[in-house]
Amino acid sequence: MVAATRTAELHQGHEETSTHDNYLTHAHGWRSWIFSLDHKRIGIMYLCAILISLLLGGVFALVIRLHLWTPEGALVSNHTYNNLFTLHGAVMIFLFIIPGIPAALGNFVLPMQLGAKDLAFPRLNLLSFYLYCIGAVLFLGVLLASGIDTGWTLYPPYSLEGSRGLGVLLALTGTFIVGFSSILTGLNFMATVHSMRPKAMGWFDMPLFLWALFATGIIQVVATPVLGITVALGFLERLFHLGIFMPEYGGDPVLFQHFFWFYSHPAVYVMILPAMGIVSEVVSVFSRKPIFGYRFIAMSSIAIAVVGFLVWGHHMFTSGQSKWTNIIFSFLTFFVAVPSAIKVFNWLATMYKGDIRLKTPMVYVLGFFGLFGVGGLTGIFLGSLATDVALHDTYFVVAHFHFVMVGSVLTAFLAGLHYWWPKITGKMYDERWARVAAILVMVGFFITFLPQFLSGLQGMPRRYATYLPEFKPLHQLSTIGAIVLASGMFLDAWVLWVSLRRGKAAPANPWGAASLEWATPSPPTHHNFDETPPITGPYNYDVLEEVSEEAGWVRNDGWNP
Amino acid sequence: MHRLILAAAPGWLPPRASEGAGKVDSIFMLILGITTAFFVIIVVAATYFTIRYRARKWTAPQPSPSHHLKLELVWSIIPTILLVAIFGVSTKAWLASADAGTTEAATTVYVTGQQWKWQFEYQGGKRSDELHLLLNEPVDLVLSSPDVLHSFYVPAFRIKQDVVPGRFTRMHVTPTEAGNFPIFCAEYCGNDHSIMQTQVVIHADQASYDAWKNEKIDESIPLVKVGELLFQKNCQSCHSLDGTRKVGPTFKGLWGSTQTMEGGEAVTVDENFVRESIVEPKKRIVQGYPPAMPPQSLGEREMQGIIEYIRSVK
Ligand code: HEC
Ligand code: HEM
Ligand SMILES: [Cu+2]
Ligand SMILES: [Cu+2]
Repeated sequence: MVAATRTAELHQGHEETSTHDNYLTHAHGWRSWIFSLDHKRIGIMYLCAILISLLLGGVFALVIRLHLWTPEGALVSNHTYNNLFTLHGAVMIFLFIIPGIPAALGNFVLPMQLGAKDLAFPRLNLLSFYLYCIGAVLFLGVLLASGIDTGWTLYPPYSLEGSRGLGVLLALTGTFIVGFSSILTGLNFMATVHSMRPKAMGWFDMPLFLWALFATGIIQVVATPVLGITVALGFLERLFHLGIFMPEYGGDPVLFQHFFWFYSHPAVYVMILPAMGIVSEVVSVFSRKPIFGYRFIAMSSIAIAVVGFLVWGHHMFTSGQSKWTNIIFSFLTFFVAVPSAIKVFNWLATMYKGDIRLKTPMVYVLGFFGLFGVGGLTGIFLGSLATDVALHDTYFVVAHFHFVMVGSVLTAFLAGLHYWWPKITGKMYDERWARVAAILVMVGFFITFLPQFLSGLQGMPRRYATYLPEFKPLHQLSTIGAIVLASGMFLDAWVLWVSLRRGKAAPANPWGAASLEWATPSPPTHHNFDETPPITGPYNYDVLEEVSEEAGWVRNDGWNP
Repeated sequence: MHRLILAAAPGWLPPRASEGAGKVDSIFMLILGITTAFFVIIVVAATYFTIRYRARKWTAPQPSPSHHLKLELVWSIIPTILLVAIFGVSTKAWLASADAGTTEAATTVYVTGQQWKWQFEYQGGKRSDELHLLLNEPVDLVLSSPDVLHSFYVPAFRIKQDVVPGRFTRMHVTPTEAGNFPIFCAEYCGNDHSIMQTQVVIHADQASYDAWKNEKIDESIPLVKVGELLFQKNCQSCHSLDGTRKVGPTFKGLWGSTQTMEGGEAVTVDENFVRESIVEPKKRIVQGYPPAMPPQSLGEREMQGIIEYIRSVK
């Protein structure tokens, strides 16, 4: 895709070089990409890597769903099935959804929303991209070569037994290297927000996407090292039999679960906070209204980041941990749900009396409200002890986390991708087909995952390669939904591909957004801004006027890029 | 609360067969009611605003406040109160079932989860691979695992409990409905996790429970037959009779042959080796096979029977 962007750009370039020199035409040749320190080019490289992971994880998912067409398993052996769901979960979580929004879109947008030329540490940024690649290759290589079948949760003693154990530890080392890249990205983002904000932009003048990335940075920096500690303890256990996780040496497997979820629960907020940031931007821009309750949304990101560290035990209600531990974790879990609920009301209030335009990003965001609604609200069934003891480790949980991770994070990612696409590529895409794709994706999603709540309620355990015949209709519905979902994704890929090849040139500000990344040409110049644009507030739409569909929106105070 | 407890589970929920199940369902319904109300509010508001405030050529956004303290307080406090209420009700119900086992005198059943089967041992020495319980008789299940994590899950009881190697976990239940209900392993435990299923048989009365408890392998049937029955029940999944290789070596021609163990030791298959293979399979592993055979404890006559049977498979 990188090459495609470039060739497309070169074609276009002949007619357009007269207008401006941009970051895509600024330098040529593959070296100018892989050694680039430009946050925009690094963002694009991340975007490609992440889309490849998404494709890979998606293919695994389709094979899984097709296999479950019949109760006895239609396609593969139990062992292969176990490999597949491990690969699917691990690739989607560690390689796609955790780094997805921050590393790809965040990298591109964050400095521009600050009116800055780049991140605080551009070299560190390139390093973190390479760490991501090295970690991903190691991780995938080990998973494929050793056929790990433990599930992404890697619970010992199963995961650390025999030769499987060393493979698991090597794969975990891979994830920690990927994790290290998120630590560096998080640090870089926090440092940039602190030190490169223009004087005129106070903390509460920042776009909410920046607040979200800032809060995400905190989690990445605090939580990810625990992953490293867990790997180190795992190696010590395997090599020196210290008795940490393995009962045969006197260790406790439940301890591993604490370590794992102490990282992995905050990691779910690494996924959802940036997604919420995108929703805040998009809902405001396409309602043409300042976001409702700005301060609350900003502070709730931070609150979620902090309280999110205190609820990991809700994944272990049936692990045999003490009664009081369960009660306290259940209580705290209910408290993280509050800020999320309020954010939804804030977004809805933003639409009230707005001037709502149903462009593709907004279509995704409307879907997000429904999907996040279901995902978040079903979290309450799982946070409540009496019901979780029944629902834990069934398809109900599978449906819950797909609603929040795929339903919400993936749709927000797609909203963001379509929202910033004109800025990134300088091209518009076909609105009509992009909306059709969006609707297919979301309808397919509902058909895939709503039935799983029901089968989970009826007792269908997760990670089953074969199942009792009474679950068959619900499983088949899920498989059909998955096919619809996949066709939506492929349609969207095609729409974006066509846009790259022969999309109309995008104006600097096609949506009428007030944050600073739109106060630079599309695509931006190498240095983003020749001078810092005057700061008018991220959601102040009074200063903008629409000229025409082609020319987009311009400021009426006379300042334009 | 109690009036909410429904008599029979609606069709989209599994049957209810324990005291706790009705309570869990009523809490489920309570949360379902509250969350559905919120979901409807979200969807209706989003849809209504989208239609009502859809941009037209001649419209512009109308002035409206960008925050409103009272409104924000209302929609923060109401969900908080509701969530605390759900927490309270749910925790109370959960505690009632979690604490019950420690106060009541109940019979105890030891449950062993191992790759990939369940084993139940009752006070008085009876063993089975289905769980047999008596209606309305409270029971404590004490769970343990010799290998990896498992989770003992009975949808009809609305309970699950992880089975953790290296320690005991427990679970308390009072069955309230006679019949057979599935038991699943809910924690991933390796290759055949998905076939680690059995059932709980809840006897309607003491007589039927006793009949099951006292049933013995008939003394009059010949040893070979005892062995054959046992083979079909416990060994067939891994051992063949016709020379094909399954998880473990075939029994065809096994008796009296010389087998090479992991580490090179050569062993002649006789009575004592078969006994050792069954009781302590991990002690010596046949070369080229995984250490996958679960240890089994058989009665003396059953042991003799299986030996007789292996001897008969030529
Ligand atoms: C889960 C699969 C499994 C089940 C069930 C199982 N076995 Fe095995 N068995 C194995 C495997 C694998 C081996 C070879 C590795 C070893 O020696 O432990 C084996 C080895 C043996 C051996 C030694 C064979 C030789 O070639 O020396 C005997 C005897 C035996 N099993 C008897 C039984 C009997 C009797 C039963 C039923 C009561 C039984 N097994 C049930 C998997 C199983
Ligand atoms: C909004 C409030 C939320 C609540 C109250 C909540 C609650 C819970 C609870 C209690 C569990 C454990 C269930 C079990 O295993 O039995 C769980 C599982 C999970 N949740 Fe959430 N959740 C919420 C939001 C999210 C979000 C936003 C994400 C990610 C984007 C997420 C991702 C997950 C994942 C990945 C799992 C299961 C992981 C696994 O077992 O493999 N949740 N949730
Ligand atoms: Cu969690
Ligand atoms: Cu299992």
